[in-house]
Amino acid sequence: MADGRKRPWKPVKRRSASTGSGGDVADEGIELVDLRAVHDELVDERRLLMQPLQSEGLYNMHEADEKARLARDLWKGDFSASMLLLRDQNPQLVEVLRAKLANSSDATRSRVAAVERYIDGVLLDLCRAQNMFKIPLLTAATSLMCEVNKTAREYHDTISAFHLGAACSERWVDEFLTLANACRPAPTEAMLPGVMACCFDNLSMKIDYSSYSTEGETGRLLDMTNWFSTQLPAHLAPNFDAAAICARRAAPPHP
Amino acid sequence: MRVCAGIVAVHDGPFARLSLRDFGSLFYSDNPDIVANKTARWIRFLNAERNGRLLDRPAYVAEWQPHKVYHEPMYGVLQSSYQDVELELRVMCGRPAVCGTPPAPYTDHDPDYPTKFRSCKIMFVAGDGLALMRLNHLLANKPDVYIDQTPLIIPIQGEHPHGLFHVMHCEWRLHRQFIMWCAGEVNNQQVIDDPNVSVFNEHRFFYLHVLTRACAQYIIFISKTAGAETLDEPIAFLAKSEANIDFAWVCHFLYDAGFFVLDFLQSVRANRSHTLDLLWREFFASAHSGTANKTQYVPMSIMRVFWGMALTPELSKLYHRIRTLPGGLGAVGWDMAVEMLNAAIKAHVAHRVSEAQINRFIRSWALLECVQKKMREFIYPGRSARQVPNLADANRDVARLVERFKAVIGTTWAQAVRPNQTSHVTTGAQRLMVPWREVAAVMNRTGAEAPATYVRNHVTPLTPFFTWDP
Repeated sequence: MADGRKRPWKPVKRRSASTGSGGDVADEGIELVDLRAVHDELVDERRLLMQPLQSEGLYNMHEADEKARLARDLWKGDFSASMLLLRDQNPQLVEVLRAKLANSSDATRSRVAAVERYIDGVLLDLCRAQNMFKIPLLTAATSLMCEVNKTAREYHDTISAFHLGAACSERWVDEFLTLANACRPAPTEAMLPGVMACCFDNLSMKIDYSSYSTEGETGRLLDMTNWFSTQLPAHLAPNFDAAAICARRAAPPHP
Repeated sequence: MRVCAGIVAVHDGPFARLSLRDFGSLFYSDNPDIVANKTARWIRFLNAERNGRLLDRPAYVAEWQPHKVYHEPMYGVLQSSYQDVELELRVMCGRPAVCGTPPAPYTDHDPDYPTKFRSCKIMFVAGDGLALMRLNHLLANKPDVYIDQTPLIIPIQGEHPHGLFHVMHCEWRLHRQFIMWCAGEVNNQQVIDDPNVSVFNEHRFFYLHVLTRACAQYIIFISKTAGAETLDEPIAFLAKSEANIDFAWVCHFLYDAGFFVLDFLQSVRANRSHTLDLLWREFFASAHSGTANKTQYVPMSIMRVFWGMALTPELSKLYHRIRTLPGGLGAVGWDMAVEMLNAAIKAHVAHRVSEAQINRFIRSWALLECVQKKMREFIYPGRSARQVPNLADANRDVARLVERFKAVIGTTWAQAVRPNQTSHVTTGAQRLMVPWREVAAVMNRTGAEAPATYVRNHVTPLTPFFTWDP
């Protein structure tokens, strides 16, 4: 129906077109009306299928607070929940895609899981093809993955020409990273006061070297020591008092 | 509080008290704890191989997740001098420091730097072998700065990749002739006589995925033939195997080397900190041999064991709980995270390298690393139960090697232990002293060369801040 509501079932006494004379006229009428209901349902489903993709919960890159929300959600990394939301909004499309991907392979657990990932991929592509500025969480994540894995530019551009859900542009990633770094959530658990752990390691990089130089001096080594730190959660050592432990030190044995 | 057999600890600030004599005795290869662990893992790992699960990752649920903050690099300093490491410690403790070219005060993008670091009372400092060697000596040379003042510095040796590499490298050197013969039999052109850390992954793959599994499968096969010694008594099994030098190479490699490295790797992954200390004690015997010649890692392993026992109970408990760093598929060494960062910098900042570009990349690294980890969890659900993914299938090489063992050593227990002192499973000239006898000889040294004396002579000067009981 045009207004989207299903027509209530109502038996109508009518001669069946498929039978000759005789028989229960009322029963034959019920058969006809059922067919109509099925037809209406099909029309209804077709209408739902033909409407634009429903994509609430995506992140509009024209809105500053949406960008910040995307950054925070990337730190959380709940990709599964974000895809479930998208699927829940488009159940008919998901069903159709699942049907289209059916084949004669055994329905093993890994095959079923793989099919669901392929469906996710199609949904992601559709989201961004519908509106480039509304970005799904997974698309943002895969874009950052390109950065982590140093995806070659030509490959990146080719993939994103066909699959907008696979990767945003390098420029977007570049700009977004600055914002996202600032949105890192603080640790949610209490930390041990007065205790930290650090790790350091050195790195030397050759810079400005030229294999064409035949004389003079080119290039230099850039030496550095990289390091990270982390606080330690309080639950690892309940009632731990770093200050008291250090204060208890007796006279040191060394001169 | 009882820390270890024969060692009683009482509180002294951050430190427990230990007996120097008892500490020295912990490193003998016939120490009951070491022997018991070797026997237990022999039985456990052979059972796992029978079930096709030898290399499965251990069940591990991380107790915590590190909130890693990657800081601006300290430019112009490495770990090649004590001065450099002292400067690095100053930076990590939030004290004013000057580095770079031209020299400038160190600054960081972390808004909590340096406040959070200056208020720190206890600082665990982790690094690779070189860093740890320098740290151990700095603490010994300046205990008034690093032990008696806050923050108290407690070193954490990076167990994986660096620790694991050196553990494997030690055994590789000792069993090199056997390993290279096996590599030749499966036409493996990748592995080399004396690998360094830059080719660790290829060598580790051959060592664990091919060689260790092949030896285990062959021994299981032989143990099922008539008259075979039970596998549940490895000492007796090894003693019988020594009648045939070829069979002895296979058995001793598995017992002393293959399962040792695997035990180390699995203990890192599951953060079995006390087992790691036990394995560093076991390491001493092999590493101290002339063939292995792990001159830097021998004292470091002694110091690693020292720190595992020297701290007061509450501090020790924390030390052991954070021995390794929770990662994606299990724990890794503390050195892994910064190693990954260095690799990422090299991969990303390939063109127009500048300090500004590197700083910019490092600021983003925590997020990039976080997204990569979460994405792996999303696309590989239940991955931890599987073997290491994306590795070449080693089954064909394993099967080939087992067939070669059968052809050269025999297919029955009687053939395997028939008297033979001419080696057919090694390359090059026959060794005058096979690894297991060389290690035994090291352990049998007496007087000033005795292992306990060596341990005491190394640990005492490195711990002037510590009150040893006799």
